[in-house]
Amino acid sequence: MSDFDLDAAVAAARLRAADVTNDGTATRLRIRETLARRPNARARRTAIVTAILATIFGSTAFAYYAGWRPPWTQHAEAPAPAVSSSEQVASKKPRRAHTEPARVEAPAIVEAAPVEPAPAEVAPPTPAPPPPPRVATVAPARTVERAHHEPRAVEVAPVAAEPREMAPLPAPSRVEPLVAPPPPPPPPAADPELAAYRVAHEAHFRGGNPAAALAAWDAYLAAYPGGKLTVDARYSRALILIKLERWSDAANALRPFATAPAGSYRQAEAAKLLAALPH
Amino acid sequence: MRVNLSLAIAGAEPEAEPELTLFARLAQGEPGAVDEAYRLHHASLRGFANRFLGDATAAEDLVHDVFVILPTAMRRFRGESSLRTFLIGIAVKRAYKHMRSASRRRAAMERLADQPIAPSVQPDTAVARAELAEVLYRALDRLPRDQRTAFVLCEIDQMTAAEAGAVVGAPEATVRTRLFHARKKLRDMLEGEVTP
Repeated sequence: MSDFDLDAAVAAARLRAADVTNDGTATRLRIRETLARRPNARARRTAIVTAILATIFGSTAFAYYAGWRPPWTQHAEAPAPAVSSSEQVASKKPRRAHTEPARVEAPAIVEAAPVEPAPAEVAPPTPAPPPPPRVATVAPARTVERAHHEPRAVEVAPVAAEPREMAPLPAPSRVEPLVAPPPPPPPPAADPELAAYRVAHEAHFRGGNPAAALAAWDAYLAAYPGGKLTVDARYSRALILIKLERWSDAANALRPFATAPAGSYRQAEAAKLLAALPH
Repeated sequence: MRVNLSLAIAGAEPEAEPELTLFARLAQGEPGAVDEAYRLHHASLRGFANRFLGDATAAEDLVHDVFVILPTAMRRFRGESSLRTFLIGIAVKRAYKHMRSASRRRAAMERLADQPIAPSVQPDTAVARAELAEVLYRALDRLPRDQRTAFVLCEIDQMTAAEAGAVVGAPEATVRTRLFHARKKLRDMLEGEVTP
């Protein structure tokens, strides 16, 4: 097809379009009808946004009253772990206090160095390997003095227990964890008072049974009311009473220590504990 | 855009003020504004639609779509062209979906024996003209969209390349290139066709 022919076709198309006669009335009416049917776009957007906001608000309110909280807020609201210092224990609610002392005792509240007999005192009846060297191996008298003067020695837990029963245990360490397996019965010692004290001490710090520990302390105090370690035993008994939540008994047990002159054995600590106990 | 129209109205010549006022009314969604725009421009838009699509039914549908969408389209109008040019630009964008229906109708008409003849002209001339036009539009249906648009605007609608570029939003040189390729392809496609 030549250019001329293409031009003729273009002209024909142009003329054919001009031949179309239409006054446009029908289309005008169609346009009016369509615009009338079409809802207001702004009103439609407003309705959609309102529906979305209402859904969000309703869902949030429902979740709030249902007790659901987002995970990030739950982590933020989680209470801080219990502290292990005596001051923090005293400042907190009494209910927590009874749990704190057990935890506080070992790391912060310095317990009196356990009175352990010299290895020589214990060794003879034990055929098992000799016990490892201990840190706080002092004579009972010296130990008592130290107990009254608020010893600051690091607690040396009686880890190296009686060799006979402790044979299968691993090598003892200087610092023992708070939670310990039930202590084996202590071997008969040359000093029965010391043995009784040791039993109570073991039950308190390694037994995991506060009631048994209380009984052991009561047994010691009953047997040795004026014994060499009575003061320490009475204070330890007060701590066990707090752990057992026997507030009034614990208060009675703590009061002599709390009201003692400043600088006396565990005076400041006892005063804080006494103040923290529920009345 | 309302700010632009207000500024345009403030600085417009007196004879341009009526159209700018109509722009503002359309932008605000005044119900009577679409009716008035239709009254002023439906004939020219219908002619363009007929030339563009080559099918009267599809052209009417296109005119209807353009005026229905006009209030929404006014939001992006910046007063840079006349309302007629703006309407044709909308028509070109909306025409593509009508091209398919027009193409299908042409294919169906090709299978029919009869072709409607305008009663006001000689039957043989009208028939020849109609056949030529049909041949051309069938060939246009096979062109790429941009090339067909450039050919229809420049050749059939007799716009300049600059005017066509303003309508489709492309540079003048691009329109000329598209037109060149459209003519070449049409010659290749229509080679061998018998001219009545």
